[in-house]
Amino acid sequence: MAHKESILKGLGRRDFLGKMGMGLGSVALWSLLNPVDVLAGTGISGNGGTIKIPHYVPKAKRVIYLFQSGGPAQQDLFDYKPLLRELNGQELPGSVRQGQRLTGMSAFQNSLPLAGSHFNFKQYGKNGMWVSDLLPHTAKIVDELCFIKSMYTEAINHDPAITFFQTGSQQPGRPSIGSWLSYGLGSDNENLPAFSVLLSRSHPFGQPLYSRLWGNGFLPSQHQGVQFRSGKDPVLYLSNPHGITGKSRRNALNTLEELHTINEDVLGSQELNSKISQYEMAYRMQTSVPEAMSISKEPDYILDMYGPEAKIPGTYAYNCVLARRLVERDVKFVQLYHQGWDQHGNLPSDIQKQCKSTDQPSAALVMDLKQRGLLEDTLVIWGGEFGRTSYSQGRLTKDNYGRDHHPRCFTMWMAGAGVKPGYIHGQTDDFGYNITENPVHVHDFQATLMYLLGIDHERLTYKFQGRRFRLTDVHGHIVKDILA
Amino acid sequence: MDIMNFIGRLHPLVVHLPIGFLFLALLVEWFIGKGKSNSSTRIVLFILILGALSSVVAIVCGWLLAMDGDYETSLLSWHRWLGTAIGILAIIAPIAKYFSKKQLYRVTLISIGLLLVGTGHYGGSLTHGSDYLIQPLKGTVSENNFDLFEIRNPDSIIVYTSFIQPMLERKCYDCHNSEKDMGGLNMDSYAKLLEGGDHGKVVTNDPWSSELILRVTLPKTNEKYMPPKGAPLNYNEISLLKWWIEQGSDSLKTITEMEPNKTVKHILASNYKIDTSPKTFVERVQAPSVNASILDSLTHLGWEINQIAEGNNFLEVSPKNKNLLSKKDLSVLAKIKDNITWLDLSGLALEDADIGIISKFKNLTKLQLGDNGITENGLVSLSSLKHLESLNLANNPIQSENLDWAKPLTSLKRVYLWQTKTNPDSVDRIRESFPEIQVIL
Repeated sequence: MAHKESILKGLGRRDFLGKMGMGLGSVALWSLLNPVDVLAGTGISGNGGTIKIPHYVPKAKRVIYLFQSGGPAQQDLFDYKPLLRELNGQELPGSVRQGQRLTGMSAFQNSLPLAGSHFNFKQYGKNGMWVSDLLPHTAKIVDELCFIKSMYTEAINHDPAITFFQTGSQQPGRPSIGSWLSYGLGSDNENLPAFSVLLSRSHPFGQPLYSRLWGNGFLPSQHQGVQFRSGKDPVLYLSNPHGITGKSRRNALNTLEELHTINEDVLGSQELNSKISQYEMAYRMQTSVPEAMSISKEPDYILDMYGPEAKIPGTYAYNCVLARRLVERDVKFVQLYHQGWDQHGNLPSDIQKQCKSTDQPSAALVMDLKQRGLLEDTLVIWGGEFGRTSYSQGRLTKDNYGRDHHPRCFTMWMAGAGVKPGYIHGQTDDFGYNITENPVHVHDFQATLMYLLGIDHERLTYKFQGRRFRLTDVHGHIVKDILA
Repeated sequence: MDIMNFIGRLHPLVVHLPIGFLFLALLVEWFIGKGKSNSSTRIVLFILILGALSSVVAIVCGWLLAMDGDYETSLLSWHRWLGTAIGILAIIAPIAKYFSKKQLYRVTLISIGLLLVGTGHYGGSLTHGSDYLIQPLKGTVSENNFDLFEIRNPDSIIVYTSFIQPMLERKCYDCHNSEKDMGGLNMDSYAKLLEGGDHGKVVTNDPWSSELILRVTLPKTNEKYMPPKGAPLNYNEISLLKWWIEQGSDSLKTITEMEPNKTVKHILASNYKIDTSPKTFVERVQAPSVNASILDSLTHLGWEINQIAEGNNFLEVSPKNKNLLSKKDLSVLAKIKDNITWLDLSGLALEDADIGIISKFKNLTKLQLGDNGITENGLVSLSSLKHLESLNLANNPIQSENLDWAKPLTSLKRVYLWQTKTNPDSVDRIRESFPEIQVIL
């Protein structure tokens, strides 16, 4: 009795209210374990998300977000600026900079010499999109891509900038895009996490990535991104320890579930339910993950599309193949992170390596999805957290330059579901420094992404600490011009 | 110098003197009542003479003004002759009073009172417009009214009647209507508006040579600026007007037919909540509603059924578990045949004979038939799918040398023929003969 009282005393106001809301006892557990099935019998099914019926007709059902971590230099890849070459070595005019704040890395430089790209550009596709020689494969498929050359952000350093892209806020603590989608739309495959994460880098050093970037923030923790690793175990501690069979694992889980059911009425907290659902998900993933993560059945001609690195685990190319395999299995949000775009110095040589390992796989992924018909309802996004400066960081020499962080403009591309193929949105000035046409803010990008998935970004909210939060905070306009 | 015109324009000033004097005479008579003294008679007489003199001056001014101004003729005629009648009675009144013709005097004075009301009203209507007085009672017309349209479909909103006409009514109608057509311009009908005014047409094909646009975009200090009084046309109104003229100033064309430009799209979206972005078939058309129990039964048979969006009865259908569902279960979908718009039947080992049922699903826009045993012979049965936009046939033993089976599929945009037995050489030919269809191999 004393024990029970202490438990009851321990039941806080929030827990109590939470329990009242979730007070379905074991049904709640079952619904979390098997979100796809519980809605059967209600006529219209829905997939366990809070949005039972999409707000808009969805154009995309799945997303692959190829995150280019570090901030690729738009002047060397997509945003062709011949003027920079003409004025190579001359000072960046103050009228262009307009008092823009610089990072501590170049703010104290005596001179800000303009640096023209060392790489040649050519026009490709029906729209005559300029693409640098660094990206021969991407250049070939520009008619499939929708370029936004006028992205801008508020942050000037990596972590706040990535956090801003992922969560809509520069301060850590809010849910990542994939978590919001998992929370809102649920899962189309109960055996794989709705939000899957794959990491790669072509260079031993890169800006660090923290797992909170794919974290669930204040959303229930089953919505956090699950990172698949490149080693023997794609998910750590997923396989049974030595001496434990699948059957005994199942028995253990069953017993745990029974215990949980008994305590549910007394303790039942959302976090405990999340925990149980994650145990169950892990159990199902013991069979589904090895199958999804094995590329042994991929024919050679497919792997050849993705390039020579496609068979090497841990590479960007390998992850692109995995991404396709995951969306084929109806995983809602697959996010790749490729580190190493932070080229403050030695840009000409480093960017070549970087492009070599990402250009072909990115293009191959789009075309592979396309031939299978998956591009019909899968959205592919390519982009970093900010752009890079048109002036050189450090000394500008005949064969070397670097570029500092530049939040005022950068280029992203999207392909597939719901966006115009072969389209260029936005323009920057001749210095590649400011946007002159159709600026797209990070929140606009997020609002558009949500719209493509059938979500009104103003309506997908979660109440936490007395306030309703949403991905786009109180901002965000849908970029209608890029919608197909 | 036009002295006559100048004197004429004194009419609105002078006209208030006889009104005041004559009413005062009436009031004084009423106040004094029956007990009359000699002095009171003299006072009333004095007022009446002032009234008579000032009415004559007002009438002369009025006649002069009428010669010059553009006034609506029937209103003017009423005002003119009633006013003149008052003048005559105003002369009779002091005479009758002086000679103590009590009966005549009383009738005259009361008639003057009544006529003053009528004449004054017509006069006011002439200068301010006939709606001026009761307009505030009718309630104001809001410019940006979200509830203006119950249906916000740009295909069914006529630009002239929904935007242009109400705007002209708000801002121009007071001076340019069939009763008062200043400058000979009457805007109360489409035909009259196109006819133009005294100086010719006000609407041409080019907004910047149309008097209608020029007059409302002049500097406000310019004497030709319109409207001369009241709220000017705002940016949104001018933009809509310009767009309407650019697009041929038709009276029946809808928003969609008028091809809104970027500015107009923005105005329509933010002020009228009209979304002009292109709509897909499923967003334009509404499917019949479905009984929940039918959906329940289908769900239990192993179909995954989802409503594609809020307020939209179209459904997306796929097998919940491909291994559990046999192709026999396909026929039950006929119960929701008009609602299915996205159908995924990939990997169900379907053969040509099985897909005949699909021809009933006339509202299909996306159909996935990948990983089946379908050949080109089976595809003929898809001919009734007039709204089909995307057809995935990857991984089927199709040996199509041509796309003749796709001819009846008038909406088809993309066909996926990856991993079929289609000869890559024939694809170039197919692409040539069906340029509007994207063939993905």
